[in-house]
Amino acid sequence: MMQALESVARLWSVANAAIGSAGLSVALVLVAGILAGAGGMVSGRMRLYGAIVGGMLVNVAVKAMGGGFEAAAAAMAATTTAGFLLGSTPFLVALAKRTRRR
Amino acid sequence: MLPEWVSRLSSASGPAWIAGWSNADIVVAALVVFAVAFSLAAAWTADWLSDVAFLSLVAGALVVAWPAMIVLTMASLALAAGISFLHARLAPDRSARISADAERRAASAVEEFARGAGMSEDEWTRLRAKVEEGRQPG
Repeated sequence: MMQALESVARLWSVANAAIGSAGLSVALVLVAGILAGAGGMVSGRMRLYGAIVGGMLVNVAVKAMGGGFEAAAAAMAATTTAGFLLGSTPFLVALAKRTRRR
Repeated sequence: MLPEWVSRLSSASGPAWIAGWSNADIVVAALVVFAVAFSLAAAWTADWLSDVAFLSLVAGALVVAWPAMIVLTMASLALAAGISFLHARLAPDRSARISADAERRAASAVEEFARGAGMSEDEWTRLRAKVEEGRQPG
């Protein structure tokens, strides 16, 4: 498990090096979060699909900037997870508020 | 047997992440799965077939080079538009029902967003009436 996480972290740093700009990486994660949030307004499944589309944008960016398939896939997985969590935040806040009201 | 230009295109497109497959092979395979699943999803109105269509594109795009990803995306959009057009011609009632359902889902999502943003019931009703008014022909 730890080895798998280390390998994902290594590939993530390779992907970031390929993108070459921390700002662009953060921007792409934010885009994934926005897409997940927009999808989440329709349904939970659309939230996941939005995050996946955001992850695929990172995938194509890493590949276009010279990163390998493995680094691009790791970056996609990491961005999809981050985007899904980010896109779920307003939903979680709304859920917490609704629960507190009850 | 496949024509000569097909094998030439396949080898010229470069190797994919899967050993023994070229980018063109993966793009064609993903598009075939997408077209079949999307057509069946339109015919049966089955959500899980839409998932298969979407995931086939994601899986295909993951293992090809970036130019092939762009080709795959553009081709899938063209295919989806073509299938939707055919579906609207062949089964107008079902097509209209799917469109109305999608519109209803989108409207409720926008309404939820508007409520979350602090819009009152009155403001929302007024906005909806304005949008409906804009949709009236003439």
